Amino acid sequence: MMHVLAVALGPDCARALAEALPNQRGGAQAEWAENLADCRRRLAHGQHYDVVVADCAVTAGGDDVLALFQHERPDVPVYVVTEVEREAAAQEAIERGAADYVLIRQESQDRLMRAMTRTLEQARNRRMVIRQTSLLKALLAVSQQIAAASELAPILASVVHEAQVHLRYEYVAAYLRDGEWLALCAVAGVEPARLPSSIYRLPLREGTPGRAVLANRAIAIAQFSTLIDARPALGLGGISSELSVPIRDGDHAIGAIMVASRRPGQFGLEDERTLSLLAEPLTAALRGIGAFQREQERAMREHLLARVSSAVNSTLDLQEVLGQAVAEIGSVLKVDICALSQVDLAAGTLSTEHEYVNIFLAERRSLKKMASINASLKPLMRWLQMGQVVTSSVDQVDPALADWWRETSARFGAKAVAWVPIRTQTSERFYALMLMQVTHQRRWTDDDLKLLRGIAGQLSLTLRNAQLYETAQHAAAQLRAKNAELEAFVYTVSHDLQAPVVSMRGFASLLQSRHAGQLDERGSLYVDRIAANAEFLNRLLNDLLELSRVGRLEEPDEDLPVADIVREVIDDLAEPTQAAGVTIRQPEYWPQVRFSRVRLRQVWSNLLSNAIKFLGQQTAPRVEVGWRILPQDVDLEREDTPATIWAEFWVRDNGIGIHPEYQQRIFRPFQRLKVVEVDGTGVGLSIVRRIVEGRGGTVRVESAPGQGATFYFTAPLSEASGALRGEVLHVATGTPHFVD
Amino acid sequence: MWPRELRILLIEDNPDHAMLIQTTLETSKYAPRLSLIADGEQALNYVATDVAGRSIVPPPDLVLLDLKLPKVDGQEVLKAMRAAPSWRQVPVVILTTLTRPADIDECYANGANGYLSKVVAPDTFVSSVRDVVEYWLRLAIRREAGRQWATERAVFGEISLEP
Repeated sequence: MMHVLAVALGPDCARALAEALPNQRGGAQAEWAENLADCRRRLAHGQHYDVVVADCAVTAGGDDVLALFQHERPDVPVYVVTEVEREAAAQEAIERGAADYVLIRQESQDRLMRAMTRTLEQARNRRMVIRQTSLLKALLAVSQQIAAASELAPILASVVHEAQVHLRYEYVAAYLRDGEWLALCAVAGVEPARLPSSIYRLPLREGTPGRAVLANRAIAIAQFSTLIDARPALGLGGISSELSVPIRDGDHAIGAIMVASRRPGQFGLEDERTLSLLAEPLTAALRGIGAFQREQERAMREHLLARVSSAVNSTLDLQEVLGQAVAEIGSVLKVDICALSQVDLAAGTLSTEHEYVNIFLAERRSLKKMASINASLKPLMRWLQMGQVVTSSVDQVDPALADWWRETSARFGAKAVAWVPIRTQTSERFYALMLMQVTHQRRWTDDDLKLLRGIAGQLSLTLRNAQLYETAQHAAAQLRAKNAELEAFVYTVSHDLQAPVVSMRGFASLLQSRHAGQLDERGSLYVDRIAANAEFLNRLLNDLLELSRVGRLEEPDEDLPVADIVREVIDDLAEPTQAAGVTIRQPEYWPQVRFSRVRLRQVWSNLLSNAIKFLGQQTAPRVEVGWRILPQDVDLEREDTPATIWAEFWVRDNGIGIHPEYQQRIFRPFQRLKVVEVDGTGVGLSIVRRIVEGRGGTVRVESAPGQGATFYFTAPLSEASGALRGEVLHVATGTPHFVD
Repeated sequence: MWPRELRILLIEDNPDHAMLIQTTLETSKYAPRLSLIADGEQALNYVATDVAGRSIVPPPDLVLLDLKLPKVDGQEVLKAMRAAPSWRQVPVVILTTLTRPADIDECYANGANGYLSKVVAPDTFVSSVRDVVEYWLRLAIRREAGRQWATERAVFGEISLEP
């Protein structure tokens, strides 16, 4: 349809133009303007014209119709009509940019009409050329977009944009079919925010785009006001005409491009061809993208199981895993509802724990969180209990499930359902995965069922693991509680025992200090024995408390020079050492270890005092301390993270020695091998063992009766500088030097 | 030498320990009078105040408190003392066999003035109990003397502060 604006034409001219209009192919219509102001008003209203025919009276003088259009609509040709005697004015208009002029001679009306027809044809051809150019531009832009994009949205957006800008359609929209619906994918000519939300998804049978898809051909409405049951697809007021052209994939339509205008009867065959041309490259693009998306979908399905397994392995949060699995299954298998429910046959309940509902469902349908297993549900639950996958669809209902199916389809409008059991440790309580199709009938393919069984197996494993984990956690908590109880018990008991010991020691001491004169020699001896035994009992209790504390207290480890610790301990033991006449030999170099200061002192102190204590009647009692690096596998490829190097330390004496039979027992608490006249409760070595083993080390003893004994313990060397490590290694490989 | 007889309240359930403590104080130059309470409940009654918040029994100059008491725990007794206005200033020394750091910390948190372990050598026990008791009694005497001095000055109108 060609739109002509006639300005200030004389009666003859106007008649000739009106008669010329019907001759135009594709149709033409004219609007009649009186003067310059009238033209200006029409342009201000946004009217679009293909050609202007104006009398030279309004196209001369500078501020005229010609200037107006050249300024406002430079691509609209302006034709000037003039009398023969004023041809000069027309020529002047040509020089200023008018397209051509028509001379009115004193001739027949018929000739004038033909002249008008020729003018319009010329204008039309000119317009065609411009339009073809624009169409080519639009197609070029669209095909560039298609080449660049791997998604649908930008391509469709580009199509509607190009059609609006280059081809001058007021409103352009692109739709794609989604089942029984048509989804609006892109729109131009109007802000999307101004559109009512209801028009984003249109039923196929409403509006020209849907009908174009259904009929697989172009559908146009020339004037909505003449039709009762038709509404503009964009839902905007003021739209008079619409044209929709299908986007085809092979033989069937997959979507539509729609143009709309406020002018009635705006669209004709030419527009249909234009839009078809625009839709054509889309078909290929959509097919490519469709294939891409199908491929993606297939990959998604294939990886669903892998994703569920990795979720299972990456987190211990059971609920998170289940929730994620349900959502993934729902979206990948494209079901409308996917729910995971716990079935408790004993309690007769079915509680839904996780649910996925397709967001495109017109109304969100949600399952009851908790349902009772009624008579109609029971047969289904029995099947599931036996590990059966149960599927049903509208045309294929298992007779045993007829009751349940009736209820379900009435409540949810279900058209196809699949139930997959997920077995757990108990047969009366298990989980079930339910998938439901509401919008359309669906046949569950073998692939679907295989995938579902795989996922069910994986989830079953997860649930079992979670149960095991819970049981283990419970047991660990119980053990911790028991341990704490035991420690509290040891603490309380030793303190309760301490009260009488305090009394015994106190009174014995009073007897010794204040009443010694009243006792004879024997009496004094007995009191001394009571005091000594009370003293011993006291130490026993203290050691017991200490032992219970060693495993409990967490003291920070630090880098300690063993030399300092050993020197301190030897100084502390100076008195008994001298009393027994013991020589202590130690090496020239000591390493640094990573240990708790208090505990390391305790280890050395216990071992050294132990050695001094058990020297017996040795004539030249000698104690020797030393150390060496433990051989270890050195991983040369891991220079950045050197493995911990362990050293073995020893305390050797030439005392009474230990019979092999007892060598394992001495590290247990309260094992004293002989009631000799030596101090000691027999807890010291147990404390050593607990301290050393608590840090991953080991203790051992080498001895033979009469040959002395060597006690060994291991400790990790501190990760000091490489130079120190080198020195340590060098020293350790040589013969240890002893200094007396 | 000091204005009046000094009183020590010993809260101790073990009669032998009570006897031992009494013995250690026999040689003290202050010759304090020792009252004995053998369980926590009695101790709470002793600390109880009347409706006006005054102590029913005049508070002693020093409290020696055991922690493991029948019926009511020593820590509770300590808290009750610190809550009663007329007992708040009374020094309390804990005497116990408990040696766990957490127990000792709790004593000080509840407002104890000192802590003595019973698990020490007998002669150390005798001297340490006596030293600690004498330290606090000396303090009590000084405080009393200071208070008298302040009261006298207040009487003569030379000082306006309340004692």
